[in-house]
Amino acid sequence: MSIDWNDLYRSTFPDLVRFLHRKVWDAERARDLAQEAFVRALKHEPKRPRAWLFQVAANLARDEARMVIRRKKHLVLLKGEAEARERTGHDPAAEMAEREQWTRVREALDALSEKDREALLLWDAGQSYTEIAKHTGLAVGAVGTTLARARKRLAEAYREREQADVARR
Amino acid sequence: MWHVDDGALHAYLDGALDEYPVAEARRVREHLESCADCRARLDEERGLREEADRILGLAAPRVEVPTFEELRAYVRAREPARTAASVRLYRLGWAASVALALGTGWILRGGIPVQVRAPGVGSSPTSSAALDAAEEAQAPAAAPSTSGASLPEADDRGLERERAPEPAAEPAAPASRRQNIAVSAQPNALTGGAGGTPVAQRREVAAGGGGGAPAPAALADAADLDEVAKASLDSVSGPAVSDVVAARQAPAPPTAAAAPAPTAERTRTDASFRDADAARRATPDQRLSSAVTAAPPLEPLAGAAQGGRAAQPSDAPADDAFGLVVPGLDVLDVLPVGQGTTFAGMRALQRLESGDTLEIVHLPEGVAPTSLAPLREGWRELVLPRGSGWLVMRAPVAEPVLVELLQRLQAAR
Repeated sequence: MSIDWNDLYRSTFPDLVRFLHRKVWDAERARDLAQEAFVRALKHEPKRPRAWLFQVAANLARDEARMVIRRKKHLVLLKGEAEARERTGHDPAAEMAEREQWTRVREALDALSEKDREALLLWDAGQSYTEIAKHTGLAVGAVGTTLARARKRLAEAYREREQADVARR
Repeated sequence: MWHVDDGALHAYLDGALDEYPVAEARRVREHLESCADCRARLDEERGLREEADRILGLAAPRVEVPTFEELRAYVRAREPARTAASVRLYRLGWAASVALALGTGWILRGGIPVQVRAPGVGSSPTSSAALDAAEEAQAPAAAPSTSGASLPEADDRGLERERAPEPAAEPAAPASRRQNIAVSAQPNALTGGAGGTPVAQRREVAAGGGGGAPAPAALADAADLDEVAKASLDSVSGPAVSDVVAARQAPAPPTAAAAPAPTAERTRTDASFRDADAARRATPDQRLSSAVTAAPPLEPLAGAAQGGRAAQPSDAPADDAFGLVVPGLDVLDVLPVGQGTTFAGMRALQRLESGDTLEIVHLPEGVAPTSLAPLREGWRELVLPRGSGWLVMRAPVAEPVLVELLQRLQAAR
């Protein structure tokens, strides 16, 4: 079965960036890593490319947490036009508010167990229960339970941090 | 009365019931139609699900998606540059390792037969601090053995408890066979490994010996993960890796049944490596006799006690210096191991095509591999003598893949 890489790329790239962003917490690096995963997928043409991409992306993100990638290359478009657009909309106050929000979300996610967090992020990135099960080693029937627990804990942890921030001000 | 559990409610909300067994999905749907309590819970869980989605949405990146053609153009443009960069990094790594070899006076030939280490359990770091922790001269004591059973011929000095009891059907698996399994080029293993290959058996034993579940991320879908792992392999040819003395994988996470590691266990581990160091410092003839003498604590992998090949010093290649990097892989870093002015070896970090990191450490004489941080979950390790020290390779890949990487490393020397 031939793979429509163009279609797969358009449908999966944003999901992959979304998934990676919640792991490395840097939009640019998340894009780089998603791009890197696709570059490798094009080279190796795996049989199940979507699952493969998320597995490779997870590996890249894990390593990213340990060390800074020395070799950084970017698509001209990513470095040029897109970022120029971002610069024109530069708003320090909004940026700071966004950063604070990201920090709260990040801390709330950190309150989850590794497996719960992984399942939730994979779901959020558009993975099916079957794909999540393969990626995490869970049984398909256990994915729902894991997600239920993860969502509950995330909501609780986020509320706690929100209240703590309000109390500090 | 039976009610739908939270997991099934979330599967219902996520539209994933179709991925459940048909009968179970039907049962959930029918129950939700007839049970007011479960419908009320469903509404609660819907609210929770929406809240979680909203929270995650707060941290959604703004993504600019380049066109597919731009990605292809990038791939085409990148290949030559990448090759050039890899060559430069490789040379840098090579230079560093040669300097290391000269600086530390590695002039002795590796002649020690075999050693095996006990696996650390429970204390395996899962955080990003793993590599940093490895630089501590006194790493935390490794934890409990993975199995309380040991082979009858093994004594208590070695780390034989790494090995769970052999299957009853193979009580007398010859030591030399195990060595050949672990250290030679195995086309079947490198192509995915037939289930009945000795390598597969050994891995199963190691995984099962811990009494806990295998690391799921590493073992969840062997076919898929092999495919990911094999992304790093460009060739499968190379010399036999005849001097691997220990091959192991990180054990499963600790379970309630797993006892904490006794300190004495670690001490014995260090002692067994010291024995090996002492044997290496001996003259060639002495090395031979020491090897035979030292056989009892060694895992049958080596076969020294049983007259296996590993007892022959000639099996160890003559290495005065060696590279620390596998050609063709990006070098992330080459850095010394140790703290302050204490030199405890050299470490090279390389990125596999799969995105995993390959760690290659050379430890000089007197620094035992046990001084490194415990293996992280899902990782595997090869340990072999080099010069008067040790070479340790670690990566979160299947053992055949690690052996293949070792072959590439040796072929480059």
